[in-house]
This record gives sequence, structure tokens and C-alpha cells, in this order.
Amino acid sequence: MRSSLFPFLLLSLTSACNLARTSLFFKEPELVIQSEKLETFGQSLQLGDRSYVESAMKDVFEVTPEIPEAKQLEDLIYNDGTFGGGCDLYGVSEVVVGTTAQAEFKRAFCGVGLTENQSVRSSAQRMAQTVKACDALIYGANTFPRVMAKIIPGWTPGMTANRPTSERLRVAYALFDRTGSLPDPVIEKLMDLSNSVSDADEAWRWVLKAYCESPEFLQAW
Amino acid sequence: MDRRKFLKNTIGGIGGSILASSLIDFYLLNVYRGMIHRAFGLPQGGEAEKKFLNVAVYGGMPGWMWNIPLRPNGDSDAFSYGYQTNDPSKSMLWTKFVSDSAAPGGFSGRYEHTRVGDWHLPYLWSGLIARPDGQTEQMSKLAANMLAMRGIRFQFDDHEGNRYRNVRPEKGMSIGGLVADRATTPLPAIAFDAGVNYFKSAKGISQLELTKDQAFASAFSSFQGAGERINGNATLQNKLDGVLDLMRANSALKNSSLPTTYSDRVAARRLMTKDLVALEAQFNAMKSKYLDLVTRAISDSALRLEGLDNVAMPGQASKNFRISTTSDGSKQGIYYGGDDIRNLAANASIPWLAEQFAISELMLTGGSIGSAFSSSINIVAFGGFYANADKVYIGEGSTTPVLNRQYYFPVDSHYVGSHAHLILHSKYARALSSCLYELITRLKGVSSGNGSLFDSTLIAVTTEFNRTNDQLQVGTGHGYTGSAYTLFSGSIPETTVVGNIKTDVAVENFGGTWGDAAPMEGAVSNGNYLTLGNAVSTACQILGVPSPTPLYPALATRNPVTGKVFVPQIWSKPENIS
Repeated sequence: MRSSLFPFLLLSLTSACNLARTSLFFKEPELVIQSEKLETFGQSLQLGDRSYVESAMKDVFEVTPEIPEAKQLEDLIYNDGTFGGGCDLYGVSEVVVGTTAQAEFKRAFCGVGLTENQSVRSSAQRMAQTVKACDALIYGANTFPRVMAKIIPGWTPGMTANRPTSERLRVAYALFDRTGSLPDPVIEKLMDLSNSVSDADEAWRWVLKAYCESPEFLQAW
Repeated sequence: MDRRKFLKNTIGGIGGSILASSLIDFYLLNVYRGMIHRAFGLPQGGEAEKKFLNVAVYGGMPGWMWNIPLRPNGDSDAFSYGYQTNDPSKSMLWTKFVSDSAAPGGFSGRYEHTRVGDWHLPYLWSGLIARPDGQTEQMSKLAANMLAMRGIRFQFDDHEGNRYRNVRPEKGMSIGGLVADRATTPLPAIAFDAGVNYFKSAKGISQLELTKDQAFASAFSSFQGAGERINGNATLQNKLDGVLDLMRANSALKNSSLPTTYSDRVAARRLMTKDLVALEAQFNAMKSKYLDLVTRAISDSALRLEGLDNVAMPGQASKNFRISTTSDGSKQGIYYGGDDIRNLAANASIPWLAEQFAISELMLTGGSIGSAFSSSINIVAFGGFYANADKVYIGEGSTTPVLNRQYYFPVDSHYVGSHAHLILHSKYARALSSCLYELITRLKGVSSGNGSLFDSTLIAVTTEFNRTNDQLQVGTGHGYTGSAYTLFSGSIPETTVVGNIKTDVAVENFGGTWGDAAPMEGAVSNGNYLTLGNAVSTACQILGVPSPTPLYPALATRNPVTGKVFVPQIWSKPENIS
């Protein structure tokens, strides 16, 4: 090992005699950082901010203002700084507790958290909140029947005939990812997953979890 | 014999050893660095993933008491007039009190140092720091893996800007961002009281901002409360994960960044299955531990250092005992007036420091889970402390005492007198040192790659600037032309000091040196002064990531075989230059 370094040493010494010290030191890192920016790390992914994600989920699960799932969704997504997004002046409202005026949605305050999180980035926190929101909707008393009715017209709870099929799986996926489609191997895996659950409704819940926790439908195009 | 010594010795046998050493350093600096950079900072064989912690001390603290050795070589001729004048109206550059019956309170001061390894560090390093087991430890042990860079000429006189620039010197990537980009930890980057300007990642990773008073909750609340649906049927969860793994592979065809988002889901689910209640209990225990260390650093009599805080010194309403300004807008001075200056720091606390070190320890070590949660951490240490003085005077020359007055002592010490400055800042630096030493001890106890977690972690203690000695009789100014940048890592094998300073700033009545930068061969910036770019490049070199300031050479490099850091010979002897 030591002897193998010697030719490099001589080369390096020769070079050192011919090059200004600055160029000897710093050419390579400059090239590396360019390469790193342009090739290694693309920044092409545009995820939706809090408004987009909340809207996308509302759309899929037909969340309307009067149902409790709407408040759950708002708390988990819209009022969570990890999703980023601009300040919402209309998100600030006051309620009186005793004699003190307090913010109803403190995290919606402009300048308190959200304005520092306007950039939309992927993170474990964001995905954790997404998983929780998905669960709230998939197990929601109002939202589960509504999304199922979109997949299977005339759907009623607990009917064995309503079990997932390949065709229904594709219909369901299109609710989430309108421009994408699932390849056959994924469909096969989903069928295997749903067939592991005896109850038809529960089988659909696991399928919906897979769709809802996949990030494709939360991209902002 | 390591490779560096072998090569040096070989060439030394052929030609002059001094020339050979310099050339070998050039060779190692370039070829080794090239190898590291070509590898894009990815861990070498057996090398662990890198971690970066920035402890940003708010306010711009004076370095000559702690991290800027003014006479590192111990040379008695390294200074000219001023550094140890006994005239307390003219100098703040003290590290130790000396009896002086003619001086206010019966004490004056001087710059004293202590030998640590091959170097002479400020006097405080001869003292003790607290350990969590109730015992004490020599503070010099903290310096065992320290690279102290001094004499750095920052371009700007700017509190906020310099705090950011220390880790993100230019518009591009931050040091933490570069580390986070390579991280496999579930929360790649976190910050505690930092701002968005501290952090920029090429991958677009965001830095999670923790809330001061809810450090643990703000980091982990997203993963709590998911209920049995998340942690329920393991067989079905595994099948679900299998489906999503396949979807993830498919997603790469749509967008090359989508798989990263799938990975974030995996990280989220991993954290959701942890016992976060138990983890929070560990965090609370860590917080208590650091809180105790801070308290003892300030007030434990067992830690008192001879010539610093082992004697009772009476105060008076004169400039030297000024401890702060009033906060009522009048900015009147508050002067210590009790019988024992040590009572100045009674019940003192440094807000959030314990929480910040606790969350750093938890994130880096993983607590009982045993794997790191985060790879890049920015904390902003409160620059100063709140304390309760037994007796003060409001206004210079006042004869009306105010008892039990709470006050704020800032390291941003524009208005602090020499005596109060020395004792209060020493206590602050001791508290900071105690926390650093404990964190490092914990990191040393965790295996990582071929070594310990401390070997793969770099802690950078930064502040906005050093402080000058050019204020009229009381207080210090912004010493941005002679700043410091202090690194701790197990990969730094010994105490090391780098950087040249001037022996005399030649300011009338305030001569001597506070650490103002002097030119240094090879610094390649503005008249060969070291700049922040050199310091940042050094940190990046140790971390194995490309520097965001590649035009400025690193002052140290890393042997890729041993993983250890060394300073090339051209920079290995810091000088004080007239």
C-alpha cells in the first residue's frame, strides 16, 4: 500500500510545482458540488401544501363541512405546519375563554410557525400526519361509505359481493391518482392483501390505506 | 507508523525534512481530499454516517476566556502592551483576578493561561467541570478532541447574519443540509430556536423546527396517538408494506424523487411503533441531568477556581462592577454592591440550554432505542443567563442599595464591567463546557462503525463574533475581525489550535490583543486572512462533505485510512504577529 502511493506522490509533487496553490486546492470540490446539484439531487418533486392535501383528501372521501371527519382532517393536515403553505388570514379567529380572547386555531396564526414553513418538503412528520388523516377517513363513519359508493355504485356495508376485484382496485386507484395507473404486479399484491382479510369492508380499508399512504396523489402538478 | 509519518520520514531521508513535510502535506491535502470528495462524502469502508451539531451561542461571546487562546504557544513575548495591564479601566482581557489593594474591590486582573497538551489555553481550562454522578472532572479533558480556530476575519459585523453564516456561509447549501442529504435517520435535520436561514439541503430536506418549551413533543407528536390501527395486525401491515414497496419501485419511473417520499412513510411508521412514552421519560431525565450540570457550573463551590471565584470580592457602584443595563428603556447600569461577587450568580439559569443539550443527546444517540433520530442539529444557546444578585445599585455612584434584584447578564457584553465580566462569563463558559463534556461522554459510549459515535460526530461551537477591547472603561465591542470557530470530534485526535492573530491592535489606551486576525499563509482570501469560508471548509472536510465555500481551503484534513484529522504543517503553528 505504501509503495503504491509513491507514483501518486511523485505526480502530485510535479503538479504542485506547476500549479498555483489555489487551483491545486480547489478545482475538484467546485466540480463536485456542481455535479451534486445537477445530477445527484433533482428537486423535481412538487408536493402539495396543506391546502392542496386537505382538498385532495376531501375530494376523494367527499368530506363535507358538517361531518366530524372534516375537523379531524383540518387538525391533522391544514393546521399542521409540516405541510407548508402560505399564511391564511381567514384561519385566524378568536374565541373567548373566561375573559381571555384566544386563538381558536393557534397554529394558523400568520407568523407563528406556518410562515416559516411555506416551503413544501417531504418529511417523516408529514407522512405520519398523512397516515393518521388517512386512518381517520378510512375508518370514518361518514367518509368510508362515501368513498365506497364511488368505487361500487349502490355499495352497502358488509356485502361479500363487494369484495375487491382487479377491476374495482383500478377504479379505486383512479380516485386517488387520476393520471396514473397501477401495473399488474401491484394489483396482484393488493389482491393478496385483501384476500387475507375475511370481512369485505375491512379488506377495502386495507386497500384504501395503501392508496392513501402512497404519495403520488399528493403531488402538486 | 501511520501513512503520513511514513511518507514524511521517507522523503525526509531524501531531502530536507522541512521541505518534505510541507510537500507531503500538500500531497495528502489534495489526494486524500480528492478521494473523499469523489466518494461524495459517503461513508468509507467501516465508516459510520456523519452527524453534525451546531451549538450557536447567541450574542457574540468573548473568546479570550474560553475558545480563543491568546498565547497558544506560551511565548512570553507574544503580546505587547495592554494584555495584562493592571489598570482596570483600560482592559477587559482578563482570565484571572489578582490581588491589588489599589484596584476597585481589592482586585485587578490579568491574562493567564494553562497548559493543555502542547498548547496554552485560557486559564479557565485549568479548572473543574461537573459530572452527572455528582463528581467533578478536569475541564481540560474537554479539549482533548478540540480544534480551536482563531483569528478568523468575518466579513460582516452582524449578529443575525453571522449566526446563520457560520453554518451557511453563502446562499447555497448549509453544512447541516449537506449532512442531512446523506442521512438515513428518520428526522434528518432538526433545529431548536434556529431559523430557516440556518439550513439548506440540496435534496430539499426540511429542517424540523422544535418548540422551545415543548422540545420532545414538537419532535415526536406527529408519531404519537396513532392508536392500534397503526400498530395492529402485523401480518397485514407487512403485506401493506409489501404493496407500498412495489408501488415505490414503480414510482421512480414517474418521478425520481418520489421514492424518497415513500421512504419518509417507512420512517414515519417506524417511529409510530416505538415506545415514545418511554422515550419521553428518557428525555426528561436527560433534561434534568443537564439542568443540574448548568446549575452546578454556576454555583457549586466544589468547582470554584483559584483566582477566579474562590475569593469573596466586595462590589461597588463603579464601572468595573457593572453587570447589565436596566430594561426600562433608560439603560441605567446595574452594579453589583454586595459583599461577595460570587453571590452575583445566585439561582442563575441559562434558559433552554438543558433542553437543547437533552434533545441533542436524544437525537444523536437514540436513547434506549439506540439508533440516531437525526443527523443534523442546530441549537441556539441562550447567550447569557438570568440571575438573582443579593445587592445591587442602580446607576453609577448610587448609594441606595436594591436587594435581591433579578438581572440578565448577556455574553453580548457591551455594558458589562471588567470584574463582573470575568466572573460571569467564566461561569457561563463553564456551564457550556459541562454540557459539552457530558454530551461527548455519552457519544463516546455508543458504538458507530469502527469507532464511537463521537468519532463520526462533529460539534461546532460558534458565535457571531469575538469581542474587542476598545470600549471606554467598560464593556466590549463586536470583534468580527478576529472571530473563532471551535470544533469537537472524536476524529480530532488531540488538542489543536490554528490561526494567527495580531499582538497589538494599536488602539490608543486599549492596546494588546483580543484576537484580531493576522495574515496567514495559504488562507487565499483578502490579504491572506482566514475567513469564515476556511472554517466552514474545515468542518466540511472533517464531515466528508463538499464545502459550500470551496474557494477557501480547509485548515485541517482527514486521513481516509485512519479517519483522523490533522492540520497540514503550513498551518500547524499559530502565531501572534506584530
